[in-house]
Parts: sequence; C-alpha cells; structure tokens
Amino acid sequence: MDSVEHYQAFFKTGEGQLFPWLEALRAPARERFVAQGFPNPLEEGWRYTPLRSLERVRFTPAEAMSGVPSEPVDLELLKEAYSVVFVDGHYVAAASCLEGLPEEVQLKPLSLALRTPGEDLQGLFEDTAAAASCHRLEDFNTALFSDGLCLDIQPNYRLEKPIVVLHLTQQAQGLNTLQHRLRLAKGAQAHLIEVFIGPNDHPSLTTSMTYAVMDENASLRHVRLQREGKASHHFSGLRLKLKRSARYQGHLASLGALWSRTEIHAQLGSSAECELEGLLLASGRQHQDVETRLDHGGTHASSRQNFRGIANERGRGVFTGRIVVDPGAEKTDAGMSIRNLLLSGDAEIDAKPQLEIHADDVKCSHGVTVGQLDEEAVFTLQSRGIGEQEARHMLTFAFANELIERIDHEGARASVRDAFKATLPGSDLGSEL
Amino acid sequence: MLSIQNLEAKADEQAILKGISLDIKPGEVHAIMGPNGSGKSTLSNSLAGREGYQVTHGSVTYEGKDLLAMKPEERAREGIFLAFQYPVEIPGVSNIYLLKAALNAIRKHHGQTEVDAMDFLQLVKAKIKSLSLDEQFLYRGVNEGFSGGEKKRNEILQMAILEPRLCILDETDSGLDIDALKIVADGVNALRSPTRSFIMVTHYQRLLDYIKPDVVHVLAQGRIVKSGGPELALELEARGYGWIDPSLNH
Ligand SMILES: Nc1ncnc2c1ncn2[C@@H]1O[C@H](COP(=O)(O)OP(=O)(O)OP(=O)(O)O)[C@@H](O)[C@H]1O
Ligand SMILES: [Mg+2]
Repeated sequence: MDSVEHYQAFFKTGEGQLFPWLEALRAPARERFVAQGFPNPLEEGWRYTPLRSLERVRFTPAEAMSGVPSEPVDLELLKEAYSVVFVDGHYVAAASCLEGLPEEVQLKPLSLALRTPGEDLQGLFEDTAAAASCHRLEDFNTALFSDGLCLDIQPNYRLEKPIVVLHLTQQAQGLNTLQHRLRLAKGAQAHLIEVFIGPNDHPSLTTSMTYAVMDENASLRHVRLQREGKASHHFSGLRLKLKRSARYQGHLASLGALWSRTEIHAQLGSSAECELEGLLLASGRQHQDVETRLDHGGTHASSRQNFRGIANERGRGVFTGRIVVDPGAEKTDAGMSIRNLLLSGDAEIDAKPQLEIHADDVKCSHGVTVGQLDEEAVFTLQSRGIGEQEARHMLTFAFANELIERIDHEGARASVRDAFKATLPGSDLGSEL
Repeated sequence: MLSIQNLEAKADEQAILKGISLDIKPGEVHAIMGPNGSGKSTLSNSLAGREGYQVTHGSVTYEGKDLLAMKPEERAREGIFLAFQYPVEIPGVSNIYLLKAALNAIRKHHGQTEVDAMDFLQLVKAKIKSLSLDEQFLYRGVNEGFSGGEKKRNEILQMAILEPRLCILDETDSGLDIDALKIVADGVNALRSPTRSFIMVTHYQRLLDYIKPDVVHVLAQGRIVKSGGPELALELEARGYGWIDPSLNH
C-alpha cells in the first residue's frame, strides 16, 4: 500500500449533511492529495526539504484519550493563562483551563464546536480560508484535521491573559492533525503561546495549520516553541491576513523533531505591521526548514524579519524568505535578516531571501550571513578561566539568546531558553547570560 | 614567579620572538616598552596561550610549572591574566555573566565553592564604582558598543574581580583620557601586593609615573635589548629608541 492509500482510509468524510461548508473545504484538498500525494523534491519550495523520511513511516491517528495525560504537563506557562491542551491531536478538557473567559471572547476546541448544534463556525472558516491551499501538505492537513482551536474576539476587546496551547504527543507512530482558526475583530488584542512537545523514543507526525484574520487595528502576539521528540516529523503553517493597521508579532523557536517545516505566510494590508523573529537549531541529523512569504498588498505597511539558525553535527537548516510588494504598495518598508552559525564541518544551512518588488517607492533590505563562532571571543573566555567547550556553548547560547531575550512574556521566554539549553548538546550553562 | 628562558615564537610561520629571557619575582612590576611591531603583544599572547602563536624554542616556568604545556584556561585558573590591547566584543554574553562564570571556574579549580550571588553582586558593584563605570555596563554584552577607554577599564574590572597572581597589561593605557588613566592606575595600584606581579606593556612613560615599575625593558625586533630602572623610561621618552640601537631609527 502506498502512503496515499494508507492515509486515504483516515480522511474525514460524511460531514456534508451537517456541515456542507466543511465538506466544501475538504473535498478539493482530498482530491489534490489523492491525485498527487505529498510534495516531491522537484517542486518549487521542496527541493531542500525532501519528505522521504516522512513517507517511510505509516502514521496512524490516535484515539482520543480519556482522563489526563500520563506525562506531567508541568509547564510554568500554564499558570496565569487560559490553556488548551491537545494530546495526540485531541482536545483534553481535563488538562485545559478555559475558566473565566469574558463573553467577548469565544475560545473553544473545534471538536467540541462541531458537536454543538447551532454553532456558527462557518463564518470563522469562510473568513479565514482566505488564501488557496499552497501545497499538498496543507491539503493533507485539511483532509484530515480532527481538532483545533477556534478563537473569535469581539471588536476592541483586549485579552490580556495569554492563551497557551500545548500540543503533546504520546502515541508511537501517531498522526496528529490540527487546524486552528482565529479571528480578531477590529481593535481586538490577544496573546497566543503554542508549545509542541513529544517523547524522543518514537516517531510521530504532527501537522498544524493556523489561519488568522485580523481586522483593522487588531493585534496578535504569538510565540511558537517547537520542541517535539527527536524522531518526530513536524509541519506547521500559519496563514495570516492583516487588514489595515493590524499588527502581528511572532516569535518562533524550532528546536525539536527530526524533520520540521514551519511556514509563515502573511498578507499585509495598508499600514499593517508584521514582525517575525525565529530561531532554529539543527543538531544530530535534524532537518529544520523555515519558509516565510510576506505579501505587501497595501501602502505604508512594514515588516521585519529576523531569523537565526544554528546547525551542529550533521544538522541541516533551510530558510526561504520571500517578500512580495504588490503594484501600488508604495511606502512599503520591509527588512529581513538571516544570520546563521555553523558549528561543525558537516552542518549545513541554506538561506534564500527572495524579493519581488512591483512598486516604486519602497524600502526593502535583506541580509544573510553564515559564519562560525568568533575564535577571538572563544579565546577571550578561555583566558578568563572558562573551559573551551563551555566557552563555545556560551557563545552559541549567546547567539540564540539575543533573539530569545526579545520575547516579552517572561514565562514563554524562560520556556524557550530552557528548551534551547536542553537541546544544545552537552551544554551546562548558568541561568542568565 | 615567572621565568622565561630563551623564548622564540612564530606567528603565521614568521619568527617574531627571537630569544627572550625574563625573570619576574613575586611583587615586582616590569614595564616593557619598544617600537611598534617589536613583539610585545606576541610575548603577552604567548604567555596567555593564544592559538596561532607557536613557541619554537625556550621555556616558560610559572610558579614551578611548565606554563607552555597548559591550555589558556588552565593558565587563567592558575592566576595568569592578560588585559588585551584590543578587547573583543562578545554580544549576547553580559559582562556580569562572564565575571561570574570566570570567577567560579577559577574557584572550582582551587577546590572552592561557587560564590554566593549576593556577595558577588556586592563585590562587583564596589569594584565597578571604583573604576567609575556605570552599573549598567554589567548588564551589557561584554565590550559591546563600549568606547575604547571603556573597554580598557572593563579589562581592569575583570582583573580586579579575578585577582590574578600575574597580571599582563598590554597597552592598557592607550586610548585612555587623562582622568581614566589615573583611575586605571589607581585600580592597578590597589591590586599591588608582595605576592602579585605585573608585566606592563606601554608606549608612554606617563603610566609609569602612576605605577612605579621595578624594572623597565626595551623589546626590539623580538629581543630584549636593554633593561634598567624607572629612569630608563624617562630616557626613552626624551631620546626615542635610536640611541639604544641605531638600526631602530625610523
Ligand atoms: N597572527 C599574526 N600573524 C602574522 N603576523 C603577526 C601575527 N601577530 C603578530 N604578527 C607580526 O608580528 C610582529 C610583532 O607584532 P606584535 O603585535 O607582537 O607587536 P607589538 O610590539 O605589540 O606592536 P604594537 O606596539 O604596535 O602593539 C608584527 O610585525 C606583526 O605584524
Ligand atoms: Mg601590541
């Protein structure tokens, strides 16, 4: 049985009666995936990120668990926040906490919403299914998703407490497919912190798509920490629609998984602001891919992208950053910087910035560097009594920490920092640099 | 404390030090002067163990041990400190973190426990004040965006915290304004003790007005061509290097 046949058996069908709009979303995605399967390396955007290792394993959706997860969900982060916990791709009410949500905020798991008669989800889906699917991994996700987060915030409501979404993988060979739909009405604000965690000893596949529409002046802060298990595969995509003066600020840390791809696509309306910062770490035989595509569609919009990659041992990193400035999008201000650190001769990082500018009066800049640790700095640390290995770890961590420090939420910052330290092989660093 | 015998060293396959011998006793201050490119920094770096400087001949004994067999960090833990001529910037590593990590590494080497966080902070704050640096500097990346003079003072701050036995100051006075020179000299003088020795590389006699050396050496073309008392520095200031060896005339 080939992989398409294998996954076909799990496709979500038969929803057409109750949710015709959902069936209308899934059907074309199913068809495309069945016809062509997973993206292949000959296709644009997949040359450096082959899916061979992903296709080799037949992942199977896990049953929804009952009760609480066996692994302790001890994240400090979950305190002082609304929390939504997914285990093996299923919402776990017993581990989540949505108590005290104001009426201006609709926050519920998709699985529950689909079981609630009269629930108006269609709007959330129609609005956010803005862009057509980009590729068949996204189709795969659309054909299969079984749960996710629905968030809808009323105009001008500012949700101060963060929403922490924890994705936990437990089942071996598990297939977790999630789709999140967010809508922030005019002037609304939210703070979303997502964490993906899994065990190291068995493979799993998580695909998670997030579609967000942000109306005029809405603002979203978003931290995403991917620290899946060492044998897992991870794909997450974010499709953002930023209307006039909307503001998105995202911090990504992609540290875990054997194979990982993160996509961030944003359409920027007039005066919208999009700030992306991201850190990736590829050790061992890890493959880390980050792809961004920012579409400046309106005037006076600005975007800042600041990525850093670290590859160690035989790790492999891939950055593709594309900025498109549409005709008429005058006064666009777009900047992208990608800085990479190679810690071994076998490590490799490819960074490809792409600018497509169709307007005249714009400011666009991009810079890419690939380098090694500064040996002068290593010696300086040694000359103060610090061992060579430790000096190297310290400098590597410092390189990452400059980005980590910019995460304004203390708990999220600490989580990313701890995860980074735990992932960087052999590091034994003090708490703060 | 330190005995250098016939030291020859190469940098980049080029012979720089051509037979240096120097004896430094506990408590002594040795000034090393000499024209640009004569090998003063090469000597300093060779003592600190910087990679790229290859000792081809001779020996260095530090407190009875073979210094050249030690890694740079071991030398530091044993009490050798080099204040760099050109301190490097280390973005992302805060000054205070470096100070603490370094101090703890040295303490650990001597079988001591880690410093108490509060005691450490008090110590650092007292020292930084005495060097007229703002406390803010502690939380900035090491030398990141520091002015030339601030970098030099930062080197002395590190020295004051780590309390080395042998301090090598490579042109710490260069780039300091008149007040900063006085502050740095006070910092160095405060560290002087019968068990601590100094090698001070300098181009200017002015520093030696503040820190009285026991011996002044002239290094030229990889050799010590003359040694004398503090008056030698005055003479160099007045007459240049040409009178020692006419080949040194520019
Ligand atoms: N890493 C290196 N590679 C090649 N040449 C070097 C290296 N380091 C030093 N040299 C050369 O060795 C010579 C001595 O340099 P050194 O820095 O020791 O001089 P110095 O006495 O400290 O001079 P200054 O007073 O200008 O600081 C110079 O000619 C210099 O160019
Ligand atoms: Mg020099």
